[in-house]
Amino acid sequence: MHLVMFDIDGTLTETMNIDEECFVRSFKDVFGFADIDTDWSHYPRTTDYGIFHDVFTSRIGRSPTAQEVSQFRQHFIQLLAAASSQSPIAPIAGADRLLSGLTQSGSHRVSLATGGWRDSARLKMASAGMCFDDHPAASADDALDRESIMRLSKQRAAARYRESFAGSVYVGDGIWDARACRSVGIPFIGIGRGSRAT
Amino acid sequence: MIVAEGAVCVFPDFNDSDMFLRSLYELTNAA
Repeated sequence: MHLVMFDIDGTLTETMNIDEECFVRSFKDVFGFADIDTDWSHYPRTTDYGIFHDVFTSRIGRSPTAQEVSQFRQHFIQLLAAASSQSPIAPIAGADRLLSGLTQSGSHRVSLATGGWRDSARLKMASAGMCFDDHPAASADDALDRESIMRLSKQRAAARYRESFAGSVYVGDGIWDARACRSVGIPFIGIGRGSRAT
Repeated sequence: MIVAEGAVCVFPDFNDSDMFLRSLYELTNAA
């Protein structure tokens, strides 16, 4: 049996733009931070928690407290909920069908490994017609870096399905996904068009 | 960009699920 791990933003859901807008606005609304660098590939840990931690630390000069993380995350998710209630999030074409097919296949298992926070991932997938909780998952609630999130997703999949995997593949859309796969040592299938792909 | 960073293959989306699954099977069988 093989494991297929999926990223969510830009891979299963068309959420790169809405996610970025809500994330940047949350910095402004909650902490008054403007001029956020939105080239996420510049950050060493490209996850919601990792980016939040790095921006906060560079602006304030100390790590955020648990309460500050929670305050930011809550506001971010409220903005996402409001935006998705006005305009539902689209799935990446064919994603829901593929997930269902793989879940029922006899050769592959599915798990989620997202750099987003769990509640935001749950909300985005639900808005796009998919269910986050159908799959074993790890998220930015679990770790700052993608490599740890991928390892944890695999561990949770092994526990949920009660089996070990002959191999794993990761499916994602970002260069940070590709870099994390190289670091963890698993093959990477990209989802993207135009300049993002090549 | 993701090809340059090491993607084994790239798809625009999952519309061509047959092609995606073929690549997935080749990749996992080779591993």
